[in-house]
Amino acid sequence: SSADSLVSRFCPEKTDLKDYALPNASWCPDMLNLYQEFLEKTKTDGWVKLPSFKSNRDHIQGLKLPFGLAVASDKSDWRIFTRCIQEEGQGYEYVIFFHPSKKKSICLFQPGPYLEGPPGFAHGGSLAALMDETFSKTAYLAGEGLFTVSLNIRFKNLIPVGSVAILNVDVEKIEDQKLYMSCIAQSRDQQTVYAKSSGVFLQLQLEEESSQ
Amino acid sequence: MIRRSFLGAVRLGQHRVLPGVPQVLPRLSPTSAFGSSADSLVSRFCPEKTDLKDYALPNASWCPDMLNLYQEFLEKTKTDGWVKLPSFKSNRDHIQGLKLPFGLAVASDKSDWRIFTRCIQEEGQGYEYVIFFHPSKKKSICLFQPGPYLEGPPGFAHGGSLAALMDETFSKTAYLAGEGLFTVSLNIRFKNLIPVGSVAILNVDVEKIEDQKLYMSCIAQSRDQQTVYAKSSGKEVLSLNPLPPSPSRQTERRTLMMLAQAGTSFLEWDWHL
Repeated sequence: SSADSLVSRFCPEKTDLKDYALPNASWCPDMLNLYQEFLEKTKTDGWVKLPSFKSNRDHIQGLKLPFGLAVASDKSDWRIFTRCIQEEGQGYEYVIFFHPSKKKSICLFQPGPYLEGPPGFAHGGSLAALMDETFSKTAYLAGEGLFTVSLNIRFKNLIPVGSVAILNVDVEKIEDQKLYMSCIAQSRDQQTVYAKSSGVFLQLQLEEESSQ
Repeated sequence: MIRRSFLGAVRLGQHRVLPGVPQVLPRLSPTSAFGSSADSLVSRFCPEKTDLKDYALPNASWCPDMLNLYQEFLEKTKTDGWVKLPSFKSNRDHIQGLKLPFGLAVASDKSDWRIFTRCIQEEGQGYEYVIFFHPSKKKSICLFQPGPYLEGPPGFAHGGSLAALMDETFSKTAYLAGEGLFTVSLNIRFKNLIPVGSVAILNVDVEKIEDQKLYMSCIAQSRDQQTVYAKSSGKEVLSLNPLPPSPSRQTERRTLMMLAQAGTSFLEWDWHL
């Protein structure tokens, strides 16, 4: 699957599904401004705003995990981890912009009070999880990366709850069926680096769900 | 508030102190008089009486494996020196009477704060976990049952959800084993996916304590140990050791300013594992 077909399958033009990667009343001014800035780039510079549905299953409709990993389930309320908290502004507020030819992503992240670690600041693990998720979507669209092989994060500063962190993700190389990516999370003015990380993902194709 | 270089400031605060500056290494509680032995840290962390709800207790969503393992370790708390850690909805409840050093403490008018790993309140939907800690062995065991709100690949826990719980288990272990306070690095190698609703056991060890840092390792595996889910290592949490009586406000402010200025050189440091 070429990058373009992966992206177009991932970003359906018409859907009834709610897209959570859209501004809401909880977004602080920095978050709104940055969002507008990148929305402009989707019109002129080749960037794509990724939709974000409540469940990862909604992102891979018609496809399933390979190797018989797919499990049948009678449950109905599945949520992708980074959308586990539904109340606006309380958990993860984030949006990912992806550039297919540059193989880069930008994630705007505003952590809410349910993501706390040290009082007033986001839990290191909440940033780790969003870095993993941003790596995951980037790896998938850049080269059908599917599973995290490794994640290595160096933390530098705490992110205050309610402020914005920008995650810059690059695909460094694709080799031996693995995608190697790097990420820097920093403040809007780039004066504060929150963390740096690298992630390796395994390339695997999703299978088409059989009609049976 | 010094935001730019708190890590640099603490790092500089170790024995290579600027001339003329008193050696100030604020601890979590500058005015507290109690010692910081493992026992006192644990007993302060595990209040005998509290109105706070402890989320690290069995509930209807726990699968049989989770319940059995819990009973197994509960037995060990009676005979083998293990301690079951309470888990409150907010980290603030865990450090009542204490605050972050370096003026990092922020006043807030909000009231509903949650520690990330307790962000989902509905039983069985998010994180179900309990941590047992052994003070003298400096080990922890975390029993983890991920719910459907933690999904990544359909039917399996998101890698990031395990990363966050590893970070949290490291965090509590580092604090009780040596007053470790902030995560410096986290390095995880994933091996297998954890099915939603099953149990993973996280075994955490403190490998060494050196240069104001705690080095820990973790293996997450299935109950029968046949499946390794992930290994993580080299995670270092800065330790802020206790000091003699805290300095006057003025000295503290002057010290913090000098540390902040010098700390700019640490911004570009890469913390190598």
